[in-house]
Amino acid sequence: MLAAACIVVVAIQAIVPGKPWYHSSSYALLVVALNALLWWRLRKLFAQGDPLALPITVAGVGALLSTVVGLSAGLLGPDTQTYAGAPGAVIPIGEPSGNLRFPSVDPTSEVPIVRFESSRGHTISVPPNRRRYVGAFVMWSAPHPVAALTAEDLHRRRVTITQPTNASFLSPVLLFSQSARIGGRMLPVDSFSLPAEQRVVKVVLFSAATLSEIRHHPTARPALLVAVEDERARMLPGAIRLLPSGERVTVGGVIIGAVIADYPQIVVAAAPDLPILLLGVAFFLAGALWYATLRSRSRS
Amino acid sequence: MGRKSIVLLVAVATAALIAAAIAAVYWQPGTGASGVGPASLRGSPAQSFTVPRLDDHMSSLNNFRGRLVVLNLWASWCPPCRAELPDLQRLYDGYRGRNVVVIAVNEGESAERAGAFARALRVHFPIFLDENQSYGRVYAALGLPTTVIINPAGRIVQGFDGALTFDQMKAAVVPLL
Repeated sequence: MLAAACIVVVAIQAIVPGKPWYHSSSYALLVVALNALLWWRLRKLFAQGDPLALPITVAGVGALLSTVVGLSAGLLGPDTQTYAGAPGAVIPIGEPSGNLRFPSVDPTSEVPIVRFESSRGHTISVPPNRRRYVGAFVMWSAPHPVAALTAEDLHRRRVTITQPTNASFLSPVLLFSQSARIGGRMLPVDSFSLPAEQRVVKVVLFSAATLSEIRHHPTARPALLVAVEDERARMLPGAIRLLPSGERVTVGGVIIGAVIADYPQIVVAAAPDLPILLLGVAFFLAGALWYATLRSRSRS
Repeated sequence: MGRKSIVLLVAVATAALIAAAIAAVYWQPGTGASGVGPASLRGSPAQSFTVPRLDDHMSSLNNFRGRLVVLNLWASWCPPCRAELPDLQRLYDGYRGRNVVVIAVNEGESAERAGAFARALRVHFPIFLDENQSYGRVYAALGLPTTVIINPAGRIVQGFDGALTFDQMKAAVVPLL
C-alpha cells in the first residue's frame, strides 16, 4: 500500500504537472516519509523471515525510483516557466536545453504551432491542447491574446513599429507579457514606439468579456485602449482612444490599427522523467504480482 | 543463492537504477541558449519572405540563393542607417562581380518614404519593402541597423547589431569569397 501510494503521488505529478506544491518541502516530505515508512516495514518483515518481504522489496524499488524522479522534478526541479515569443522569434531556453521556434505566421489567420529544437538534435512540435514530455520536463502551449499592429502617419504612409522595452525589437505584434491593476481589474498591458513620428504608445488590452462587464452590454470584440505620448513621455491632447479589434483609429497624430488574436505561449514545467517513472511502475507491478501469487499459494 | 545474496543483489540493482535515474534526469549535453541578437543566428538557415521591392517587383531572399548575401535591415528614421547605406553601396559596387549581393530591407515603412531616402543617398542595390516587419522579427534585431551575412547555401554566417564601417563589412565578406 505504501509503495502504491508513492507511485500514485508521483504519477499525479506527471499527469497534472506545473503545480507549485510539487516544489514545496511538504511534497518532498510526503514522498520521503512514504518511502521511509515502506523500507522500515520491510526491514521488520526481513527480520521476521517473512517470505513476502522479497516481492514487497521489488515493489519498493519501483516506489524508490518514482520517488527519485518525483523529487528531481519537485523540490530539486526548476520552477515552471512561461515563454512568450513574437511570430518568427527563436527563444533559447536552458532547461530543457534547446530553442523554442515561434512560427512566423499571421496569428489572425492560421493556427500557430511552436516547435522545440533540443540541443540533442530532436525537433518536437507543441500543438495546442497537447503535452510534450522532454526528459524531465513537460511543455504545453497556452493560448494568450496578442495584438498585430499597423501604424501610419497622417498621410497614410506606413511607419516602423518598434518595441524597445520588449525582447523582439522589430515585432509589430504586442505580446502583453505584463499586467497591471486598473480599476480593480488585472489587465494585460504593453507599449510600443513609432520612432519616425516620435511617439510612444501605451496599450491596455480589454477582452470582450471585460468590455461587456464595464459597458453593461454585450460586446463581441476585444479592444485596446491606446494612450499616445511624445518622446518625453508627455501625454498629447486627445490622445487616448479605444481601438476595437479589426479597426483603425487616428490618435495622437498617428493612425493605429490592431487585430487581436490568440497566439501560443509555451509553459515549461519540471516533470518526473517518464521512462524512469514507467520503469518504477513496472517494478511495482512485478512486485505486486509476485506478492499476490505468493499470497494465493499460501492460502491454498 | 541464499536470502542474504538476494537482498544484496536487490540493493546493488536499486543503487544502480537510482544512479542511472539521477544521471538521466540531470545530464544535459551542451546548452541550447545561444545568446540574443543577430549574432545568435550563426549557423541557422536564413528565413525568406516574399515582399515588394522598391522597383515594383516581388522578391524574396531565396531568389538570391547561390550568392553571398549581405542583408541589411534599416529604416529612414534611423541616423546610423543613413551613415551606413553609402558604405553598403561601396561594398556592392566593389564585390558584385564576385558573387556578392547587398539587400537592404526597409522595416515597416511605405515605398514613398523608403524610396525618397534611397534616392537621396543614391543607393541602387535591391531594396526590399518589409511592411509587416517579417525580416526584422526573424533576424533577431535588437535595434537598427542590423546586418546579417548569408552564405550561398542559405545559412547565416554572421550577424551584427549596429552600424558597420566599410572595413568591417570587407572583413566579414572577403574571407567568404
